[in-house]
Amino acid sequence: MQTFFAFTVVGIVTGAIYAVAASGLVVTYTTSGIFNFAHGAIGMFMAFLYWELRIHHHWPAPIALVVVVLVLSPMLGALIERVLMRKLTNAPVAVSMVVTLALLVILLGVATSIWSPGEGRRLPAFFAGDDVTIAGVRVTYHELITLAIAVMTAIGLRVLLFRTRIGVTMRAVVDNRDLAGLNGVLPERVASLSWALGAALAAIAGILIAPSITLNHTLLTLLVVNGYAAAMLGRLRSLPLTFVGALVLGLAQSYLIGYGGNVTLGSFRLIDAAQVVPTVFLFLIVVFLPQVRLTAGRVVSAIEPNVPSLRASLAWSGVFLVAMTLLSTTMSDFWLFNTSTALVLGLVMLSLVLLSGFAGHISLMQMTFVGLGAITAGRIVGTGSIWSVLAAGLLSAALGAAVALPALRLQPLYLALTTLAVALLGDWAFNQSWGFSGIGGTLTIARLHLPGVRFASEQSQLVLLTAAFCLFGVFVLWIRRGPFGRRLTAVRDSPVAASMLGLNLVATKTAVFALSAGMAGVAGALYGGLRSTVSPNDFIFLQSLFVFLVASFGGLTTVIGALFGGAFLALVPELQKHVPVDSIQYLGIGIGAIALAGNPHGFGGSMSEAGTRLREKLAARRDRQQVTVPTERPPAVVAS
Amino acid sequence: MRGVRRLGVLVLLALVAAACGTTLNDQQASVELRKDAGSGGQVVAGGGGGTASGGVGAGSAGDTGSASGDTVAAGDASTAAGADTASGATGASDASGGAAAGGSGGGGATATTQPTGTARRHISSGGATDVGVTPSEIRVGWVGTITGPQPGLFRGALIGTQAWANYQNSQGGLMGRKITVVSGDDALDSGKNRAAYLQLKDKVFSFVGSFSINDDGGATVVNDCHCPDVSGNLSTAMQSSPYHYGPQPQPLGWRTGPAHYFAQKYGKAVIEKLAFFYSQVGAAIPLAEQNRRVYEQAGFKVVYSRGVPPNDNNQTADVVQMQRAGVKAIAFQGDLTALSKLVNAMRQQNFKVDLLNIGNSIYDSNTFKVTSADALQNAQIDQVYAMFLGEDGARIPEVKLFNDWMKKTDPNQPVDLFSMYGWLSGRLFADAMNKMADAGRNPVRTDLVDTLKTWGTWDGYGMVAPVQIGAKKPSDCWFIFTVTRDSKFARAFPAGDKNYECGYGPFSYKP
Repeated sequence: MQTFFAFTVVGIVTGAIYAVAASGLVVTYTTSGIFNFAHGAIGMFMAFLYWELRIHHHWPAPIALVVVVLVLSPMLGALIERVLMRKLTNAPVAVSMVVTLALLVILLGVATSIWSPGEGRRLPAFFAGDDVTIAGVRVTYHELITLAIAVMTAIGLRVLLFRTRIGVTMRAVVDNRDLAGLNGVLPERVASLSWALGAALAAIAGILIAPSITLNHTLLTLLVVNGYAAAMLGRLRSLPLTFVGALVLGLAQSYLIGYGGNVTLGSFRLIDAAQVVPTVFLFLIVVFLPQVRLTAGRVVSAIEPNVPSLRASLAWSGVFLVAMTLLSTTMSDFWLFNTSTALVLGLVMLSLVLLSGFAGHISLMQMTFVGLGAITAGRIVGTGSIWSVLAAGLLSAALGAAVALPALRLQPLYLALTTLAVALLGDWAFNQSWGFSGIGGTLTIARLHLPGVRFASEQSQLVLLTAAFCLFGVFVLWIRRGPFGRRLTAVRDSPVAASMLGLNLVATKTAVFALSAGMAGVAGALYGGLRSTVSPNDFIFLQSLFVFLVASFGGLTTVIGALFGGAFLALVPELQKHVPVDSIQYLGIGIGAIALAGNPHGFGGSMSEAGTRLREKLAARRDRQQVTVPTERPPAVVAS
Repeated sequence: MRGVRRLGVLVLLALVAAACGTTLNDQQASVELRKDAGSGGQVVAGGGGGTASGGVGAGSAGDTGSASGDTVAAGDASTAAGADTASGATGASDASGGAAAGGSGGGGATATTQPTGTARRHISSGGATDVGVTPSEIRVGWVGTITGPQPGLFRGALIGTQAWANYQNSQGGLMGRKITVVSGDDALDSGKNRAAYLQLKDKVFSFVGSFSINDDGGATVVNDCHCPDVSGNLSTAMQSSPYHYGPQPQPLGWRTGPAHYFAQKYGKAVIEKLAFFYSQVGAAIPLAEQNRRVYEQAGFKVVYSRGVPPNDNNQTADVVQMQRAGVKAIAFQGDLTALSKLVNAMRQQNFKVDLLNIGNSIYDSNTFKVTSADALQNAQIDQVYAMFLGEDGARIPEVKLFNDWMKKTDPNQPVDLFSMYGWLSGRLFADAMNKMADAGRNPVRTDLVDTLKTWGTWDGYGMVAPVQIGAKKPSDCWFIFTVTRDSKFARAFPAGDKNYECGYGPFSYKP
């Protein structure tokens, strides 16, 4: 019993950390209506700033705290609201998600540039060395402070939001901005205040959490993902429920470590699953709890780029294939490989064009499908054969359908969080060395060979991947033009109307998820073959996030956008070598995604639009020329 | 248009914010390094006769006199032809050869080969004998992580390799030619690693000092181009390449000596209460499994074990479990961050054990910035390299030489494990080239691979416990160090002049 109490105390302390992390998230959502994926990144950034002042510049702790929590973080929050969020007032949920995800990446990049990860840093706990013993467990003052702040935050924010005028105003702005404005509220000012408050809470969380997990950019940023689960229990609205959720999470993890060591399933021990408790919790909550009313939205606007005819897409594919084949004869192995990488990542982007562009579903786990495809091709079926590529597609498609089924009824935000949870589960599974082996945890994958044809050289890989890209591109456009494509857009634009017309929503959504995942799986097999070896790091959640963001500003509705996205991901790291700013890839992805958030068709859409305008101009010029050509004189009318 | 304006503002803000970082000294160095990084492979080090490129401060050849006592004058390598001072480099293998065979309970290895006068100069037969070789220059390639999610992660390895090249050039180069290091960056990505190897394979004679956890990407390139690779490997794919040889091979297995030593020292009461922790990251798990088996074979009983995930935020539960299980010994294998979390939780709960073997990732200049020395008291760490941060400078001259050239090459780069790997890789490469020269052979890739393949024992002039280069067999030897109360590292075993203990048990490939 003593041990049980001990684990309970440990669990409550861990839960307090999650509660602090989650409460800021809830406040931002309640008061601004935006789910801030960058909440953890803001906390991370502020924790580093606090370290800078407190440790590097030896400021006294109270002054450093006041400056960071009460001055700098509210300023950052207000700045984010003013520069980024104010423009998204009436934007679809998906656009605001892209922007906050991009902000996460930018803050990660900037922090990495300023505070090099190679340098060791330690943020000491408050009142280090002082503790009290509860149930045989020493609880530090720092942990007690964390617990107290979690409780005070839950109570204080409840009072603020429901018992004060400003709190009611904040909620009123979220519920009906225009109506609140008519009643004399200044929505912009209220929104600024909301973001300032959210950022301050993120700063508190970062500073409190950093001593226990060390000052690590990525860990601090992603720790808040654990808070998502707690926040979801409170449906992003209820702070008390969020607090309860956080405690349940902390206790579950603690008990799993305490009692899961002896529970085994083959070589798998339950204790090793402790880290995925928050992820599983998030998945279950998102899928099974009834939804709150969320602002509906979709990735693209109603006006879409022109979809080329089959003849045109075949012709362009032919031209592209010939051009790349010719170009390949002039390229070094280095550039052949980099260009091939761009093409294979373009294939992954094409799978998102289908899923996010045409069907409007957000996926933050596309690289998990790619990883499953690579493992299938490298381990399950004879590596290098066409069967391995097909099996990769089929297995990934099956996973896609399995994820889709419980997620079908979900709105964009919940769906995104579901795919995020599955991506994190994928990270965990890959890091268990499932599918990988040896020091370095790698998997060797042979390059594709067909009867009589081997794609062993870099040049042949380029030709193969160009052909694959063209094939997928034509396929995606063919789908878009066909009845299934029309069903997808109908379901995307108005599920209710589509259902009224007799369309089977479940079948349509499951099919597009499976198809997209299958494409990503095939891309995974080719990706593995191109690189020859892959490792779990190639498929982690951050990679999926990058793919989604780059696809967003490359353009989710066009093939050219997918190609642009692939090229961006493959070639920007080369640019990094020539730019005197670290993390140019992070900054490029983040800034690009934010800048083009207002244009859901992205770069590809702009290109398509430019092409359409050019064609119209040419057509107009032809028409003018036809008008000026002398025509045969009409026969004279002769009066009879 | 609004989008474009917004883009402009964002770019400006981000650049201004990020530029704040570039005001730091190490960032300046990073920028300097990146300037050198050209698309076609970037020349990082060069200059004959002891000058270094990039303004990193390498002195003239005469500077080495203080470090090595060598009397070789500065100048172009070709002018030194015929001044074969002979004794050291290739002799290193034979000199320390017996050390690895130390029997149980008594073998030992000392720094039998001194770096003084180790550089040799040979008459160049002239001509471009192979890829990356000209009458006056030998280009070597380096591939590792400089940018990406963790900027500068393995920059130390590049600077270590560059420091070796500067030193080597100060001694007259190799085979009458100066050494130039050309670098490629993999941005912590195995695809980019492959790309960097592809970029350099037709430009360099050999890869030297490369260091990346993604070197599986380059392994297939090395195999295809039959390019020699003298580097530290981190993947099985590179380890198994017939063209790869390193100063400390790392096959799947673990040294058994320390576990047997601890078992003898601490007795049953302690070793039958072992807690085993490891980083639950795919790359580390196979090695951790080997490590655990070695402990168990030595008589340890694991009463609690756990793979610690990178995002674990509270290890107090682990400490409670250990208290409950009566743990008396802890073996930890993981990175400094994970270790720091564990020892801090132990300290918080006032939980102490008799044996705390926490792996040599703790031996780093960052250690006491991340965790306090108090939390590391009683730590006993086994290691197969000399105390390269400088503690062994007096007993192993190579350590001092290495540290001196690191400072000359880049004073802002802290000495770390990776820089030591870069330096040692260069030294191994130079020794192999000198051996070829002794046999009257030209710099030719296949000859270099053959030389490495048939190489016996090598100890890096005492800086690494003796290894079998050609057989790719890691050392059976090791030593123990501890953490002192004043935040320093100090040797603990073996006592006296012996640098490494080679008894107690061999390296186990099949534990």
